Amino acid sequence: MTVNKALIKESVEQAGFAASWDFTENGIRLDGKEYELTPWRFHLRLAEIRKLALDQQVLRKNCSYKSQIVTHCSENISDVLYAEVDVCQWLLDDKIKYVYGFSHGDKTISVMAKTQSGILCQLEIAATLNDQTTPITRHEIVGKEDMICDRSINEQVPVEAVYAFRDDEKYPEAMTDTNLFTLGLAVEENQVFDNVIDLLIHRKNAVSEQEKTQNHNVICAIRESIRSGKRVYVKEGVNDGI
Amino acid sequence: MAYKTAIFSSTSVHAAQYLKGIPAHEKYDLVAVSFVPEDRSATILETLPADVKVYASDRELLDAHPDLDVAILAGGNYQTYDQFMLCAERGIKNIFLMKIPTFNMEHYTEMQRVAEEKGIVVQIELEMRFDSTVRRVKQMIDEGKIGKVLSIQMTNTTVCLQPDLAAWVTDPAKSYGERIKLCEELDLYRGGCMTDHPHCFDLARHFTGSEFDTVYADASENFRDGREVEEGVFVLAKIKNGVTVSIDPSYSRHEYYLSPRVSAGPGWEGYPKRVEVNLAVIGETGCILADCFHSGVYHTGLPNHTFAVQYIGSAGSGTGHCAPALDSFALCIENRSLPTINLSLHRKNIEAINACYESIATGNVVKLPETSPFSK
Repeated sequence: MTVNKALIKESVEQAGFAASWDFTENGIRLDGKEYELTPWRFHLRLAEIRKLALDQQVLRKNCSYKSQIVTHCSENISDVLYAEVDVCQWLLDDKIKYVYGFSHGDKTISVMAKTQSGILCQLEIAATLNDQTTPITRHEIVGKEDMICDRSINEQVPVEAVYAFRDDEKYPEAMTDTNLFTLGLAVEENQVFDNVIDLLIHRKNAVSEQEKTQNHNVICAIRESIRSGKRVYVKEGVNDGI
Repeated sequence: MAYKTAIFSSTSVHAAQYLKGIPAHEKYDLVAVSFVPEDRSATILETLPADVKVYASDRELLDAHPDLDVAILAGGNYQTYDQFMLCAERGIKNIFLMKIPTFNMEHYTEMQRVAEEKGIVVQIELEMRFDSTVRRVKQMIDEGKIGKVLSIQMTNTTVCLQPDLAAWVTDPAKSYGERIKLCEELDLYRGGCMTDHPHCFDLARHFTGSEFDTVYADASENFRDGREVEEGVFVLAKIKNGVTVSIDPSYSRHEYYLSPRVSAGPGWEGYPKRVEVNLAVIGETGCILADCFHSGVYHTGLPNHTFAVQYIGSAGSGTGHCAPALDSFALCIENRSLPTINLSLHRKNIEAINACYESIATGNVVKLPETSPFSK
């Protein structure tokens, strides 16, 4: 999604971070080094799933994982795929071992995968929505006798926190992210803001070089699977496909 | 005129619906049932009217009721072929089958041959075809509301009946029909969630108007300890007209064990919803999202005080989701016409499921056969 980088930079400065940094194409440059931005890791729901799953260990053992994303037709579906590959491995704290996938051009990508510890994964991505529509997202981890999901029962489309209905309008005004009040940023911009702050302070949720390499290797494997129509194993380490 | 009807075995996962609903349906006169006590708790018979006789064997039932019009074969998957052939031999002209006739394709061909030769009206349950949500989604697709369909995502995720309630469901030999190892990596056998949930395979063909080209499937470790059949499966398939289909038929909705087991009803949910059949149809110009089990009331209560959804099924006949299928069957009997959900149509679903099992076992993408005997 298009974010207002100038506004985010201004917000970071207003928050008291005067360090010298700037946006690059895929991240920020700080102290001469480039850091990849992964704003999805600062999505409140996803961060909470990870906290429950890994820090609080509410699941006895992970068995399967699903993500479903239906986003705007203006979105770059490859960018969304990269994000969801990272989300999958980040939430499970595991590496994808092999993949099988299909795509319909820049409209849909469907991937089945299995991680090194045997967790069965399904990633479904589509970019066919009107740009005004709130994207449909769902992430679910099912464990033995337990599960975590970022959507509630019967919730097919995202439910908001506040709705304002008017008698002269069919559809309500709706909002959820309370940070909109504090910084005037859109939800996606707020995630980038949090990502930048994290990189400036302690890089706690920053993607490591190994994770970047793994993500890229998974993407290469998915592309190969889509091309060949077969299951493809993810290569280890740096490879020519990046 | 009501058709003299018998329900055989009474141990299917939907048997309770037929045992309650058939006596109340004006087109059917339930005269007898047979029952297999080792396959299911006898509590399922408690709602039977007093004048309906219960038999321990199918032959005993057929001997006592030689003038049956309709046989509803509501037993374990392992029984269906033998029961079908027995009913055909005894001259029954109208047979209603549960969702899995058999995974043995030689037996399947034989059933098709006998049905055709003897002029038997045979309908398969596959009640989701009659679901109003499914019908509306199909209508939207056919009207081109989202343009050309590119991919369909479907779930048919449920709780799993526990062995002391319906033992045959998690017995590989009784569910799949024989004991076949699922794959090398997992100590599991065929006959679990994918065997129990054929609906998405059928709906994939129904929505697209086309057939499976290739399937790829994989299985996870089971969610529950101590079960032999598979519980977690994902499928990614290609339809001949180019549509991608992903299916999740898993037993991934957890339940509590209730002791003593009374019935498979409210109060045993771990995950709030016992059955989820959700659809996402992605088209070139949008998407359709649908929840086929959306209507419900919400409760917390005994015995575990978990928050749960009680689905509001079809009212009236008491057969829940299966009522429209029975209505359709009655019409086909009256007109001696071929039901929409017949053996030939369903054969392709069974072949697809078998192909998925092969894919899990080999790790390969499996291509479906171009033609099948009796395929229509």
